[in-house]
Amino acid sequence: MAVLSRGPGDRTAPVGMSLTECPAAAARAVLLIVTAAGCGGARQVPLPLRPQPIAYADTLPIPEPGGFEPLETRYVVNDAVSGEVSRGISLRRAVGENHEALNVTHFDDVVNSAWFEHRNDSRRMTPEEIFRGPTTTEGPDTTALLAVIAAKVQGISPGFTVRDARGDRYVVKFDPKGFLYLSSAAGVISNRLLYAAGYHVPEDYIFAFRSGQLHIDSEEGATVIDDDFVERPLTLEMVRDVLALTDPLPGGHYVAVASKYVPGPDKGPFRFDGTRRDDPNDHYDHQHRRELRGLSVVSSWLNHVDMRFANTMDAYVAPGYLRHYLIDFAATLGSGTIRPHEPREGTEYNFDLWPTVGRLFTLGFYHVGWESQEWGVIDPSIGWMSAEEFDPATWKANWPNNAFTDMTIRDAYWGAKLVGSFSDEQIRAAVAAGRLPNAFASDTLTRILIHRRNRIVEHWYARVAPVENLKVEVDGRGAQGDDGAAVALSSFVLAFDDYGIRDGAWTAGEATYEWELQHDALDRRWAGRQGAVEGSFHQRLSVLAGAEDRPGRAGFAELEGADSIATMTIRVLRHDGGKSNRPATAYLSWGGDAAGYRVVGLEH
Amino acid sequence: MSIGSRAALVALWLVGAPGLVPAGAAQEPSPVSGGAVSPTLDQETGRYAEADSIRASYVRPPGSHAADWVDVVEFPLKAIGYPLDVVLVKLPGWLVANVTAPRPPSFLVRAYRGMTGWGLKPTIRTTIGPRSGAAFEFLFSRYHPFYIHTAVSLRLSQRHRAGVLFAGGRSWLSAEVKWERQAESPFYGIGSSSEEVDRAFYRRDWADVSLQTGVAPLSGLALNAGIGYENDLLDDPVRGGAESIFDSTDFDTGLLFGAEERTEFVRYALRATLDLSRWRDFQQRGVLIGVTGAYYEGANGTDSQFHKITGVVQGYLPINGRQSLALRGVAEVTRDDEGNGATFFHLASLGGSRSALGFPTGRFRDRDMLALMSEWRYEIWRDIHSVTRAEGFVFLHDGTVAERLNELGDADWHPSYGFGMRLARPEGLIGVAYLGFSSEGVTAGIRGAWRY
Repeated sequence: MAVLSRGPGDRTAPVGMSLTECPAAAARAVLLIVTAAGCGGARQVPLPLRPQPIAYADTLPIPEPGGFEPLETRYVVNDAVSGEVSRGISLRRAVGENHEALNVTHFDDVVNSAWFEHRNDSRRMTPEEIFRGPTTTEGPDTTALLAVIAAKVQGISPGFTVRDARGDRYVVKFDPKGFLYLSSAAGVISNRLLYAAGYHVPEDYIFAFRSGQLHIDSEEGATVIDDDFVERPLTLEMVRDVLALTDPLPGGHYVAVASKYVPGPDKGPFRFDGTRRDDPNDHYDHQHRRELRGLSVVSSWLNHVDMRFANTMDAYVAPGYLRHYLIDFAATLGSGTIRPHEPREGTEYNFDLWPTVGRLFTLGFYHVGWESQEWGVIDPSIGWMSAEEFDPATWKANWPNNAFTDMTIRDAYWGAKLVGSFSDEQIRAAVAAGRLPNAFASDTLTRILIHRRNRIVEHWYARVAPVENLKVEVDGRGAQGDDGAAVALSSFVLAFDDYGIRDGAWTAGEATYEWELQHDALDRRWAGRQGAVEGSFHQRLSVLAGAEDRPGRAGFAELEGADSIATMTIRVLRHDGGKSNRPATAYLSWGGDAAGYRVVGLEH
Repeated sequence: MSIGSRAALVALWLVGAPGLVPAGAAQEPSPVSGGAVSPTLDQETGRYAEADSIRASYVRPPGSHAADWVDVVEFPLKAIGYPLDVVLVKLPGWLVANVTAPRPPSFLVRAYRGMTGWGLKPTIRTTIGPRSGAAFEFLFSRYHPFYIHTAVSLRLSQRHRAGVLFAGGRSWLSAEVKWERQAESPFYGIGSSSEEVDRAFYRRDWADVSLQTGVAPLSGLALNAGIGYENDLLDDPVRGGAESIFDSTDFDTGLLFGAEERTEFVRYALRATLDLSRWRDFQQRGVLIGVTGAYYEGANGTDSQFHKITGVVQGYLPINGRQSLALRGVAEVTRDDEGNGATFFHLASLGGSRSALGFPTGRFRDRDMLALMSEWRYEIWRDIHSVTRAEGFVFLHDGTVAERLNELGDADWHPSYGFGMRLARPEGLIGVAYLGFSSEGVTAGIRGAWRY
């Protein structure tokens, strides 16, 4: 449980204080020792006493940064080997002292920023809004010929760039032969869902065209980089070579995903750890950003195994800041871009150090579950994606990254809330945006996404007490005891939403709330238990302290500032034998006789 | 900037960017992401001073976690681990990243491609006889069917050959002239009890002219026949530091036929191979049986006739898709027919990847040899697109040499064992690295091909 106790003279300072606050320290090693001796060891201050992140603080104008073209392999090797070794022998992990995300509000949430904007979780979007997602048009304007201005003929996923009649530019990519709609539909569906979840994504469209609608933009000097990285003039023959890598529709059209250029110049990908030095707005270490940690859960829902920094982009947008995009969702859902996904993806990293070591030292007898899993393509247009076998707790992207691996239960719950915010109807609308070729594929994919959503909600909600929107509705001010004295400052009704009920993880009949109200400064404690009221996810707890326990009004009134905060923990007990979860801690502040109690913080 | 103007700017920003109010209270999506303040760029500093001042005024959570007791306790571990991390991971990662980076090919790569395209292919191998060391090779095949191949190794072994190769659908014919120098061939004595400490070296200069032909009448069955002339002359090893067999007190080279005289032979050879093994999904499966017979007839005064017969059986037993057992048996028989019989460097030998990986090539010599080899191969990793996979393997080899096959039971057998890693494609092997152990120490190697 979070505590209020602190040592004398340290009433407000965060105890995990910055090393630079230790005056005699000059070097990190010395600082560490000093920290051990005098600065460390104390516990985190309660959430409401910490500063909060500031919405859109990272959208202040900055000088235009340079490009960033990292060699991904270097980071991949580092994360996959050093990172895994570090995590494998991590004392922090062993003793349960994992670092929580830094950019959380007093209510355990994030603010809108250049990384994330609350969308479906704060206001239920209509199915139509989900269907449209980030798009502003119907896709490339084909009222005139499409000018091919660049092509990518190397790599595993060739494509080209076109400019339409409106002058908009699109990256166009195709499905592998024999799997029409596989990657294009997956890309668009995931695009809609990630947008609605709150992430910045480009405008992606399912796009059908005839080869005759293409022409080479000779004025712009369209070129292609060949396998030898030699830039050559682009020809229609090269474009036809790219088209030959996919199948046309029966009518002769080609289907593709067209991803509109995001506004502003591309400044390279963002990493899942550290900060970008040339971005003064980049304040929080990326691995400690809640949006990126929680993205792991959203990615698990969408089976976005290719969530790595190569599929991200920083764009320098008006009035001059870096907005952080997720791009290229071709390897999501059942699609592995150039083939259907396989059971290993989502279960084991591309290079997973510990299973690899396990196989090495057991002569190959160490087995991971996917190795014996039977599977087959569900439909060529959706590939393969697990439903019953999906385990939210063990899902992995193809490559580790620090934000995902540093994810705590609180982060995961936050991500699960994003996933749980999607209704069946909304999911159906997103799938419809993929324009899958048959009803079987659409219905099956919708059912899988619903099933995976439910699994995520059931799993992660059970790890916390998913209570939200807490509010003191009625307090005990004015009540009098038998002796006529003022009583029951501890008597009030705490209203909240049980997201477990709202999102179907359990029913009201299955839940009981166990609460405990504690005021350290008064050294008083009250506790109780109450069943959930059926019929709604809105719940109310009557917090009534016994007469012998009740604190005097004067006792509270004497307390001011931070020390007037009391903590109330709420644990959800499930009658179905569900695992006991960690409690939510609500922070209550006494605002004086007139204001009474109010909720000033919430920690899951 | 005055306090007043700064306050005004902050106020303006707050109006323009409503999200600046404390979080938790402001969760509504804002259509004005990016703010409504028109930034003014300071042309001299290249910075947005107003934005900088607003940013400096923020009170928000720290961007990094402060150190705590866990960091203190872990610090020594990290201090020790950091250099290891740099050497074992970061540096290799950086190297791999730079080598594999998608970028225009370097001058070396372009030169290699240009040479290869022109018909001159440079490679690095370890193929010039025993104890050769890595060899740098050039194969010139621009004027097919003619070819020229030349190679020099780190220990100065050499191989130079030129020839013509006609290959049809199921048959082939070749003629070749070769000169080869094995600069530092080891010799430990004859018999299964020869001592490691007796090791000495010799140089073998070998000139060879051959005509060979082959036919594959059935799928998997290949029949080869050849005739050749070879001329061998032994001398001190090329490198002065290696002890010569001619200086060794352990051997009387006068008793080793072929050591102190030039020998010349006409060679007749026949080989039949039934290869029913196949690569499928990274695994070899099936059986290979091969028999080779060679008859050596002394020429130009060399008083010798002898013959050699070699039999090989290889079997591959997949246990499942990820584990398999590979077995190999090799038997070699050398028989004197007339005169001095077989030259000592033509005797059967045990050691090396062909017969006993835990011993160096040519460690034991005698007329006959039997080697039994087994490898347990298993997948430890494969890339996400199943283009390559890494396999571990452990091996146990055993074998011996003797005057006669029926004396093998009384000879000293020499087991060796070890482990290694293989990198394979679905349809073949890319390379192998191994460590072998035996009663005489450790062997290690990296190879681009494997005997079985």
